[in-house]
Order: sequence, then C-alpha cells, then structure tokens
Amino acid sequence: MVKVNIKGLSMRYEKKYILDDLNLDIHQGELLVILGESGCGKTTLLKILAGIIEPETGSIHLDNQDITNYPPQKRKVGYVPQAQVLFPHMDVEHNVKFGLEARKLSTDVIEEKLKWVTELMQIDDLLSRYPREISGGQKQRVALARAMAIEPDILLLDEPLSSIDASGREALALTIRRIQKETETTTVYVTHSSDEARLISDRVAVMYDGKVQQIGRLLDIDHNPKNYLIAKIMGTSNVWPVLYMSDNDKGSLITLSIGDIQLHEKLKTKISGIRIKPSSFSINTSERLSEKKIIFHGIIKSIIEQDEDNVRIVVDVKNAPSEYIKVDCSKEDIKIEPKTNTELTLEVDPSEVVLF
Amino acid sequence: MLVSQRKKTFERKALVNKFTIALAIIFLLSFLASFFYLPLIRIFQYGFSSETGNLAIILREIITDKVNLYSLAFTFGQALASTFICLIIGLPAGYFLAKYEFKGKKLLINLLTIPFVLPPIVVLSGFLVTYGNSGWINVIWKSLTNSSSPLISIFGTIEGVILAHVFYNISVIIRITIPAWQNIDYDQVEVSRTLGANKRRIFRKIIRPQIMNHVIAASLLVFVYTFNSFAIVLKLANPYYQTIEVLIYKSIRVSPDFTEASFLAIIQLILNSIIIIIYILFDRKSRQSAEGKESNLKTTIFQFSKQKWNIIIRNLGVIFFLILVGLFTFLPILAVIIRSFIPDKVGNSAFYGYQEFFSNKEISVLNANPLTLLGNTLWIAAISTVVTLLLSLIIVFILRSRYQSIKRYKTSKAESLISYLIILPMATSSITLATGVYLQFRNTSLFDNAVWIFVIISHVIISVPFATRSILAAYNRIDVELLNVASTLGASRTRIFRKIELPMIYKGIIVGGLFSFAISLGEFGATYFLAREDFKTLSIGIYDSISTQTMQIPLAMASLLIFVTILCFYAIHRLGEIELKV
Amino acid sequence: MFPSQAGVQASEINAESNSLVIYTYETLLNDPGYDFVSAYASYSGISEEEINVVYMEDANAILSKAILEKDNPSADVLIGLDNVMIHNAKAEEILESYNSPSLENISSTLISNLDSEKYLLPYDYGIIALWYDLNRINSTTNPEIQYLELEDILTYDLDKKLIVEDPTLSSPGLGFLLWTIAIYGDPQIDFEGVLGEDWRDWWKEAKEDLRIASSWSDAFSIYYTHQENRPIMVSYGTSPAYDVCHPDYGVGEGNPPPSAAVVSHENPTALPYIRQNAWLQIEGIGLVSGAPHSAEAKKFIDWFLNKELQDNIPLNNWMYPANIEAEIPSCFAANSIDPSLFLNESLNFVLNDILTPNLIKNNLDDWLNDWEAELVSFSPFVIVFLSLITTTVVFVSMKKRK
Repeated sequence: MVKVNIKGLSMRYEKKYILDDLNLDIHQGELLVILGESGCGKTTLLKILAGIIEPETGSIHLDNQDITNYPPQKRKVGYVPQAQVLFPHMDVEHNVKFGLEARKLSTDVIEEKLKWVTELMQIDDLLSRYPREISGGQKQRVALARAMAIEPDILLLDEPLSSIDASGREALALTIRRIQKETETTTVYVTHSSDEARLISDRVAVMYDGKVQQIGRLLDIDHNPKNYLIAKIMGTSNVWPVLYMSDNDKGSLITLSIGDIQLHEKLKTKISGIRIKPSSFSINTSERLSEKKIIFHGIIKSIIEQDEDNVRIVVDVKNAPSEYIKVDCSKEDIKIEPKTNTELTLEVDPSEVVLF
Repeated sequence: MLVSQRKKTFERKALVNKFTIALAIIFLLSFLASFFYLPLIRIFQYGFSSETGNLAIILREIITDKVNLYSLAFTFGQALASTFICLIIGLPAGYFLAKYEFKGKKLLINLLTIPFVLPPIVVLSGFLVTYGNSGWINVIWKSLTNSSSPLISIFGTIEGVILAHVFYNISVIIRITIPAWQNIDYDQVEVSRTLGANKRRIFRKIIRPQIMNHVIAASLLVFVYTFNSFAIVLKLANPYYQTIEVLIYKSIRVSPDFTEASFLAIIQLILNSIIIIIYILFDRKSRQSAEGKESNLKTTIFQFSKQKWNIIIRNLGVIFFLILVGLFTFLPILAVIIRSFIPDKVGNSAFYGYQEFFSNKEISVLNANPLTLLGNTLWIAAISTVVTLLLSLIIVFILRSRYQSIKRYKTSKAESLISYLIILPMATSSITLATGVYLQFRNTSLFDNAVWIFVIISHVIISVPFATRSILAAYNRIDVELLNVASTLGASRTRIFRKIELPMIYKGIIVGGLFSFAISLGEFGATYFLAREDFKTLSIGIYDSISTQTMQIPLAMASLLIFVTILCFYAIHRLGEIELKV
Repeated sequence: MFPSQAGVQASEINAESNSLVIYTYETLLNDPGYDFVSAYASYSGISEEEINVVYMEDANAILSKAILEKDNPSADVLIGLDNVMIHNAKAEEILESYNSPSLENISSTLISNLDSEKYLLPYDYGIIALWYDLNRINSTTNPEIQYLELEDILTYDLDKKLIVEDPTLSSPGLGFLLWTIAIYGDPQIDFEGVLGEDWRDWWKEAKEDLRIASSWSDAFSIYYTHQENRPIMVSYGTSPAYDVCHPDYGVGEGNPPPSAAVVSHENPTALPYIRQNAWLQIEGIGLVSGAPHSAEAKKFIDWFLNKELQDNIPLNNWMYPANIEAEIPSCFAANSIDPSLFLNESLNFVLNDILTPNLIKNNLDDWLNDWEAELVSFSPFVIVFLSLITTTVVFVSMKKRK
C-alpha cells in the first residue's frame, strides 16, 4: 500500500500543454478513477506515472520518495495500456512470467506467483494458448495478470473495458474491483465513461484542460459539481449551461437554452450551470399555472418504463428545438394519457434547482 | 543520498546509450559517405569540369549530340511503351485472377511472379531461347510457313526491346493489382447498383478511384525498371538503340569520356529521383487505402453446364487469355531449363552443359572455370548479404532510439535523416552507382588488385534499401506499447531487444537477407561495369557466352541461377512477407 | 576456399615480386591452343607462376585499361594493339619505344606500316576480308561475289546476308569501317578515297539490313549456327584456312574448303587488271611506359618475335606471322589470302596507303561518332507513341476537370 503525491506536473506536445501544473494525491490502497474526455491528458498522466514519458516539470513522490526521474524498470508499476498488447510470440504463461523473469526471480518463486496470479485472474486454463487464440476479455485478464504478477506498488489501468464487449464488461470490472480490494493495490483507473466510474471507484478525479478539476467521492461530485463541464463529464441528466444572468426585482433571472428560470433570490456569485433532477419535475394537468413555480412547455418524445410503478418521460422543449428534459415520475402521478407527441406542461419548484 | 546515486547511474546509462547510438550513426554515415555520397559527388565533379575548352560549349555538345538525344528519347519512349503494354495485358489478367476461382490459381499466380524475381541476364537468356532468331517461336514459324524470314526479329529493333521488357515486367502489374482488385469495396458497387448507376458509371465513380493508386504505383515501378534497363538493351538493341544506362557504360568503358559519362549519369540520377519520389507517394497512398481491408470480391467459379452460351464463351475467353499470359511469361523460363538439356552438336549429351560446368576445368567460351564463377557468385552474395544485414540492423538500431525520444513526445531526427539517406540509393541506377565508384576509386591499388571489394560494395548499396525496408516493415508492426509494458515489467533495454524486438523482426531480417542474397546473385550492371575482365560472376559468364555456339553451358548456368533464385523467393514467400523490390 | 581463389587472381597481378604482367585479348594463340606462357617459362627459366597474363574481352579493353592505369601501370607488356589503336596509345603515352634485336627478322614494311618509331612492334598481320560459307553463298548463287565491290553489297542485297562487328567494340569491325571509308572517301575532310564519294551513304543504305554484332565471336556464332541466315561476316583473309586446317573443326587439307574470303575490287582508273583493295591489320606487342618489370618485359618481347613463337602463329592465332623466317604451313597458305600480296605487289592495293596514320589519328573519333550517329535510329513508332500518350493524358485530365 503506497500513497502517491503528484505536484506541479506539466507536459507539452507541440507547444500545447497536455498537462498544466497538475496536482493530485492518491491515497493508500484506493482505486482512483481519472475521468475525462479523450485528449484531456489522462493517458499522458498515466504514462508519466509509469515512467514511460518524462514530465517537463513537476514531481512524483511514492511514499515520500521522489521517483520523478526513475525509469519504468525501477518503479514497480503494473501498467495495462488501452490496446490489449500481449507479446504475440509468447503464450499466456510466458506473457505472465515475463516480468518475473526480468526480475531474475528463482524458478520456484516464479511458478508460485504464476499459479497465484493466474488463479486470481481466472486464466489458469489458458496458459498454453497464444494471444491470437483467445478472446478480447481473456486478453485483458492476461494483461492484468501480467501486471499484477510483479505485485506492483501502483496498478495503472488505461480504459481497461473499452475493447471488451458489453456482456464481459461488468464481469471484468467486478474482477478488477475484487483483486484491487484483495491485494490492496493502489490503483489508477483511467476512463472516459462515468458509468465505469460509478461501478468501481473509491474516488473520482475529473480532468480537463490538463488539470484535475475536482476530486472526491462520486456522489459528492454528482451532487456538487464545481461547474457545468464537470457535471457534463459526470454524465448527469438535466444539466444546462447558463447563457446569461441578470437581476430583477424578484431575484435573479437565469437564461438557459431551454428557457428562462426566475429565482426568488439574488445570487451573489456567478454560476456556470444548473441542474434539475428528473424527479423534481411534476406534470401540471390543471389550467392554472403557479406563479411561484418554473414552467416548461413541451411534447412527449418518448416514454421509458423504469419498473412497474415508475416511468421516465423524455420531453422535447418547445421553442428550443434540440433540447430535451428527462422527467421521472410514478405512473399514478401522470394524470394525462402518456402518449408520444402529446403536449404537456412541466413545473418545478425553484428551490429544487441545483446551481453550480 | 541513495536517490541521487541511483539517478546518477541512470544518467550514466543514458549517456552510454546515446554514445553507442552516435557511434552507430557515425559508422553508417561514414560507410554511405565513402562508398555512395562521395562517389556521387565525384560524378558531379566530373560532370561539371572540363580540362579541355569551355564547359558550357562541351555540355551543349553533349546535350545536342544526335546519339544522346535519340537515346534519351528512346529511353523514355520504350519505357512508356513497355509500361503501357504491360498495363493493357496485366490489368485484365490481374482482374481475372482476382475474380475467378479455379484449381491451380495460386500456382499460376506464383508462376507469373517468377520472371520478375529473376536476374535480368536469365530473363535475357530465356528471351533469346524463345524469341531469338533460332528461338522456338521463329523455328516453328519458319517450319510452318516455309519462309526464311523470322516472325519476330529481336535484334536491333524497338519491338525486341519492348517485348523483352513486357515479358520481364508484366508480373509486377499482375502482382500489385490482384490485391487492388480484391480490396475494392464491393458494397459500394452494390449500393450504387441499387441506385441505378450503369456499369460505366460504376467503374468511373467507384472502381477506378479505388484501384487508381495501385495501378499508378505499379506502372511507375515498371517504368523505373525499363527506364534503367541495361543488359537487355546492350545485348539486343545496341548500337541502333541505347538507353541512358548503355550510353553511360559505353562512354566510360568503351570510349572513355568522363565528362560526358558523368553528365549523362547526373541526368539519369535526376530523372530517377523524380520517378522514385512520385512512386513513394503513390505507394504510400495505395498502402493506406489497402490497410485493414480484407478481400471482399466475390469470386466466380468457372462453370460450363446449364449456362447460357455467352457466359460459356466469355469463360472460355478468360481461360484462353490467362493461358496465353501464362505461356508468355513462363515459357521463356521453362525454355532456358529445357534448352539446357538439348545438345547443340550431335554427340553431345543432354547433360553436356552441366558436365562441363562441374568438370572443374576452364571453358574457352568463358575464358574461366565455371565452378570459379559459381564460387565467386556465391561468396560475393554471401558477403554482400552479411554486410547489408549489418547495415540494415544498424539503421534499425538507430531508429530504435526513437523510443527514447518518444518519452519527450518528439519525433526522432535520426529517423527522418535516415529515411532521406536511403531514398537516394534507391534512385541511383546500378550503372550510375558503378560510375561513381569507378571514378572515385579507379586509381587506387585496391581497385586494381581486389575489384571484388567494390563489386560487393555496390551490391550492398543496391540491396540496403530493400533489406532495410523489409526489416523496418517488420519493426513498424511492433506496437510501442509492448515495449512500454515490457519496461514497466522491469525488463532492461537489452532484454527488451532480445526477448521482444528480435523475435518479432527476425522474419523481416531473414526476408531482407534473402532479398539481398537474391539481388547480389543476379546483379549484372554494376558487376559488369566494374569488373568485366578481372572478376567474373555467373551473370557475366552467361552474358559473355550466351550467343556462342554451345548454348548448353550458359543455359546450364542460367538454370542454376533460376533454381537458387526461386529457392530464395520461395523462402521469402513462405515467410509471408513478399515485398516488391524497388 | 572461394575467397582465396579470387584472391589469387587479383592479388598476383600487382604482387611485389618480379612477375611479368601481360595484358592481351582472350583469344590470343588459344585455338586449338599454344601455351606460350609455359613455352616462355621454359625458355627464360622463370616460373610460370611469375608470368601473369590478364585476358581481356578484346584489344579495345586492353587499350582502355592501359590508358586508365597510365599513371600507375601494373602491366609490363601489351599484346594485341593494332595499327589503328597505335595512334591513341601513342597520344596517351602508355607505351615506350623499344628497338628489339628480334626486329631484324621482321618485315620492314610491316614495321613502317605499324609504327616506325617502334612503340609497337608487329608480331602478326592479316587482311580484313568478308568470309562466307560456300554452302550458302558461292559463285553459282551469287556471281557477284567473285569480283565483289562494296557497292555490290547494296546492289545485290548482300547486306541482308552480312554480319559486321561494331567498330566501337571490335577491331575487325573497326577495320571494316576504315575499309568503307578508304573506298568511298569522306568529303567532310576532303578525303577522296578510292571512289570519291561519302562512306556515310553506304552505311545509311545498309544499316537497316545489316546485322551488327558486338564482337567477332558474337558474329561468328550468328554465322556458324545459321541463326539468322547470314552466311557472310567481316573477318580475316585467313579465316577459310581455319575451316580446313584446324585439327578439330577443319575438313582437312585436300578436301574442298567449306568457306572462302573475299576483299573488294573497286577499280576507278580502269586498270587493265582486276585490282583487289584491302585493309591491312597489323597486330603489335608493346612495352608499357613505366613498366614495373621493364627488363623482363623486353626479354619477353624479344622472345615473342623470334621464330620459336612465330611458327605457332598461323595455326593458333590464324594470322600471318611477322617474322620472315617463320614457317607458314602449306594448308594455311593454300586456304587464305596472303596479306603480303598487298604489301609487295603493285597489282593489289592496300588501303592503308591512302588512309594514312595521320588521317586516322586526326579523324578516328569523329568517324566513330559519325558512324554511331548514322546507326542510331529514331523510330517513328516512338514519336507516335509519345504523342498518343500525351493526348490521352491531356484528354483524361480535361475530362476530370469537368
């Protein structure tokens, strides 16, 4: 179990900053998911941690030891790159043993560790196969086993699920989670998918513009994203950027792409976006519209049955052609006939609006 | 304390690494400089210097000389014509071979490839045996028509040269275009068919753009080969028609005029460079468009029952055409082998040529002992191969340093430097190369005493681009991430090279080695130029004796060359990396 | 094993021993073969290994190699340069004059015709002639052959039956070119020749029909194998003797000869007899200027011109020996045109008399260039093809722009 402290990391590619004064602390034994869109520098960060790329400035400390200038050979990192790269000319057994042999361990130790890690990754029946003979999911397990065999201080995973088909994805994610917990290996898991982060993360670091923008437990970020972009990266429903803000006698008026929202208080700080939870909406069936509530008019685009009692309705916003609102409600609450292309009016209490 | 110590060790290791790479670069550069670039500069020196009279006037005389002008026109004209005819026959042949499925198709394709990989001198022998004045075709014609004039006259005629070139190069077109036809995206064809496009429109809008790059690349390749043709033109058409190569050769070796020879060599070099650069551009394009595609051409099987007459006739036509093309390209090679067993004189045995060859005595038509020629050929090829591989591996080793540069996200300067350095040897014809080597070294005692060294050097310079290409092709298939992973797993750089890179490129190395071996085996131009009297290889022996009364001896030698060359290319083929030579 | 073999070949040439290095052409004294190396070894007492003979494709190769090496010569003796090459050789200063004691038995006419300054010493000579196969051409099939004139070759379409060697590559070929020049003359330099016309016209008319071989042996194989139905070739007046007197290939003395040789019979001044015109080739041996082993070389040259060797010239080199004491076998004499007829008798005419060494020296390069320019062809096919391609390219690119 090690902790990792990254300070002031910068890296340029053709004069453009990929990492820009990045700071990040990784706790002992945690599984940290680095979440960001492609090109945000998360893979670069991973390669710098692995020692494959040297940063221009900044430092990396492993348990207070400066490893910034260490070559990969001396770092004890388990690196699983995005493409499933197994050594094509070696069978599974030799792939897994590669790191152990490079470390010049005794044959007994190598065999023992091989047995342990292949059983851990459930690939002990594949040992004599060649990479071209096994499936994508199996390849990823072998790659993981190869990285885990050397019992790394840190495990670095780059989009490990991206090339696996949907059915195998969850199983593999759970395996990763399980071995990470069993071995208590400090793990950095890079992905662009918030779903994967939801599935396995201890903590999530959201990255863009070459920096870690927000770090914390997933639910915390979900509830309190620092800004609109983070909310969007987190894949949260019903977030909209603020186009324009002004104050009037009632309070602040926020202009969004789906319409205006009148708040009953004056905001003191600038905000970048708002979020309204799908469950905060209610459907107004009466003719009377409440002054105090925020009103949206729309047309039902589709109705998705969530379970026996609840449905999610996707509503096209009137006057905002490409925008839609997701609404969660119980079947009982819908007093109108839930049919596509019927018009309806949504209302929401201003206090339910999350500002960030 | 410990940390800083470690850091120092790493820095020292990195320094040693940089030092060895620098050493490798210096070695490579000094080799290329002394045996390629300085000779090239020497050509320019001679080309633009004159001891007698005004240089401008002399150069104008060279340019306006009737023989030079006509030869320049001929060089272009015959190359264009040969390429064009190769296309006319090769394109449909390639299409049929891609489209139709039949027994022995693979064999046919391989047979069609054979002339292309054979040394020009062997091809010339086959051509003479088949189309020469007492060749098979003319003998049959004469006995059929009872006339005394031959059907085809190949000596001193433009038809002879073009026929020989077409026969030699048609397989280039066929080989390159078969995958092109197979890779056409037929979904697009079907979609456009449903959209009501007619056949012509489909061809123009969909098929043509997809095969165009391949066709142009293949045509340029044929153009380069025929443009640089030497042995065939020297034997068949001189003095009526001469290529620039023949002119250069003659103005150094026959009636020495170094200014003229060098100036012609410069012209040749410039023209070749232009063609090669265009070729590389199109080749890259065609490779890109072929990348990741699998054959999706629906093949057709010949069927003759229960079909309409027109289909049967069409099928018969296709079969007839393919047989004709197969005969045209393969018959002369077969003829060499068969003819080597037919006695020239009553009383000679069928094995006379081979007996003489292995009898270990001097043969007067060769003025040498044929086993010595075979020995010379083999050890020259062996040394050339070793040196070529060594140089190629050094090049690869230098390029390997780019993985250090990637650490800093910079493209390696060494890589681009080297890729430029090896383009020029590609664009240098063997005669131009030999001219440079000759002008540079002719006054050294080494040249007088051990000309074979320069033969080897020219063979090496001719083969290095091919060998490097095939090794690099293998090297570039290695995913960088593999090396990254290996290093995180604790493997040292040498271990990575030994355990990962080497096993993954060894096929490429073998292919590169076989290539340079085969090239050296059959190389004629530079060898003949540099070492006519002093040092003979099989190719030169064949050339010297091919038109003597006893054809069996040269043809036995040619058959041996065929055998060894085919063996080499069969091995390359088995390794699955047949790359066309440039 | 193999490298060492080549090493022997190459390294011995310039070894620092006192071995003698001789450049000559491939066929010197080789058919059926007189081993002059071992003969000289036993004569002089030096071992055979110390005599290095480098055989070249032909005499032109000897000349160009010697010229290229002139600053640092490795050869001591050149054998095979002739009365045409001597000018180039002297101009390039590759030879050294040597007044060999053996010259007293060499015909003085030959010495003066080859090189009176004795840079090159004659060892054999012969005339260039048209050699023809009597089975295919004879006075019955072609009566004109008996008193042939060069013009007859055009008139009677004999050019379709004739093989000549490329004069830039072969010495009999060059001899034939000079023959045509001497007969027709060259108005460009006001050289009358025999007929006062232009030699270029003859070649212009003949070039389509002639077969030009790159060497004498190439020509011979075309002639011999009947490949192209060409029964006449440019060769020597001694060639018919080969067909009769050769121990393996000859039909034997007394049998009807299978071939004959003829020179040309132009007779512009209407002499009362039929005059023969021929070009004389005299082959010489020379001492290399700055030869590494000059003393040994001189000894070798002396020996090469003496009777012992010269007796072997007729039936092994198929030329007339220069030494007047050398024996000429009767079979050889009976079946060849004796070149001394042209040297000594006023009946016949040696073309060398009008095509003087001075003329050759000043004009040979131009003549060879002109010959090549006359021969080089520009097929209309090429023009048609180039324009065809250009129009296609223009057409296609215009269509694309639409």
